[in-house]
Amino acid sequence: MNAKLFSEAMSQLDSPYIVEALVEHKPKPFRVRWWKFHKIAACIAAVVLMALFSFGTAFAVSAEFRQALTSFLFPAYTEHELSEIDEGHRTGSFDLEDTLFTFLEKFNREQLVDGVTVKKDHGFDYVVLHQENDSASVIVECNPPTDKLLVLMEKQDYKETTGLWQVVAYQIIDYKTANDWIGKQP
Amino acid sequence: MIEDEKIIALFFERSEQAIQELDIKYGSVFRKLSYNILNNRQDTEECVNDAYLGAWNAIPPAKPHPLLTYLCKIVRNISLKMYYKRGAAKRNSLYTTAMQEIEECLSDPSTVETKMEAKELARILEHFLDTLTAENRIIFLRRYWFSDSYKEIARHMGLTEKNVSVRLTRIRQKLKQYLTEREVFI
Repeated sequence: MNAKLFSEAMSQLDSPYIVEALVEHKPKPFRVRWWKFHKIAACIAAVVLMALFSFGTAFAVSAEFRQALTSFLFPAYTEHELSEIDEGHRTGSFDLEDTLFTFLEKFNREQLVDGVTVKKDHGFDYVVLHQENDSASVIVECNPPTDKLLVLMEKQDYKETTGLWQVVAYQIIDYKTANDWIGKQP
Repeated sequence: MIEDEKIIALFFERSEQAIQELDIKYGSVFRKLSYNILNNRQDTEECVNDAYLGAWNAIPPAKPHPLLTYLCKIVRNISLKMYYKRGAAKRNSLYTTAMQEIEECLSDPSTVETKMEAKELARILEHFLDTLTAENRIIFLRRYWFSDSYKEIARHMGLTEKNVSVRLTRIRQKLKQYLTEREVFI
C-alpha cells in the first residue's frame, strides 16, 4: 500500500517537475579557465622576480652573504671531513704548518704533478712568503731543484673556532722566480 | 517536426491527423513510459492508444500546455491502472523494482499507518523536491515517475550508473528523514 500511495502522489505532482525531468541533460564540458591560470602564473612570476632581485642585491652588496653562499655551495670541507676534524682523526687543520704538511704528503703520495716531488730529507724545506690572519703563501723545495712548489692557503671560518686552514691553490714555479720572490721578502 | 500548437489546432479541427502527428512526435516517449510500468508490448500499445483516445476526448476544450507533460500523465495513469488491475505481483517491470526500492525506504514497521491522501502527500513531496538540486530532482523523477532504469538515467544525465545509484540512495535517505521530521508515515 505504501508504494501505491507514493505512486499516486507522484502522479499528482505539478507539471513543472515533469517538464524539468523530460529535458535531456548533458554534463558541462570541462573547460580550463585560462584566465585563472594567467593570474596564478603572474603571481608566481612576480614572486620569483622579487626573490631573484633580492638575491642579486644581497649578493652584490654583502660580502658576508657571498661568503656564506660560497661556503654553502662549495664547502671547503665535506661533512665527513669536518666530523673527522671534530673527532680528532684529521689533525693540524687549525694550524697552518700542519695543514701544509698534510697537503705536501698528499702531493707526493698522489703525485699531483708528474715528475715533481716535494723534498723531504729532514722534514719539508719551505719558506713562508707571506702570512696574514687568514691567508698565507709558501714556497717549498722540490725535486728536481729547478722546480719549486708555490702553495696558497686560506683560513676558513668554522663554527666557533679560530678557523680551519686549507690549501686553496698550488703551482710549480721555476727556481729563479721563487728566489726572486723570496729575495723581495721584507 | 510539427509544433505542439499546430497539433492542438488539429485537435480543435477534429482532424485525425492530430493523433498521427502526436504519435510521430512523442509516441516513443509514451511507449517507453508505459513499458517501464507494464513490461508488456501489447499492454503498452493498448495503454498508449487509450491515452490518445483520452486526449481526443479532452481536447477541446482543454488546451494543454505543455502537451507532452499532459499526455505523459495520461499514459502513466492509464498504465498504472492496468498494472494494478492485472496483478502487480506477476509483473517484473522497472516500475516494480523502483517501487520496491522506495517502499523499503519509506516503510517503518514500528509505526502505525496513517490515512493520508495522495494529494496531500504530493504537496509534501513537492516541498521535498524543492530541497534537492535540479540534477538530483531530475534523477528522482526519472526513477520514480518515469521508472527509468539506472542505465537510462545515467545516459539521460551524462553520469555513470554507479553515480546514479549512489545519488538515489542518498536521496531516499533524505526523503525518509524529511518525512520522519514532519511525522509523515505511509
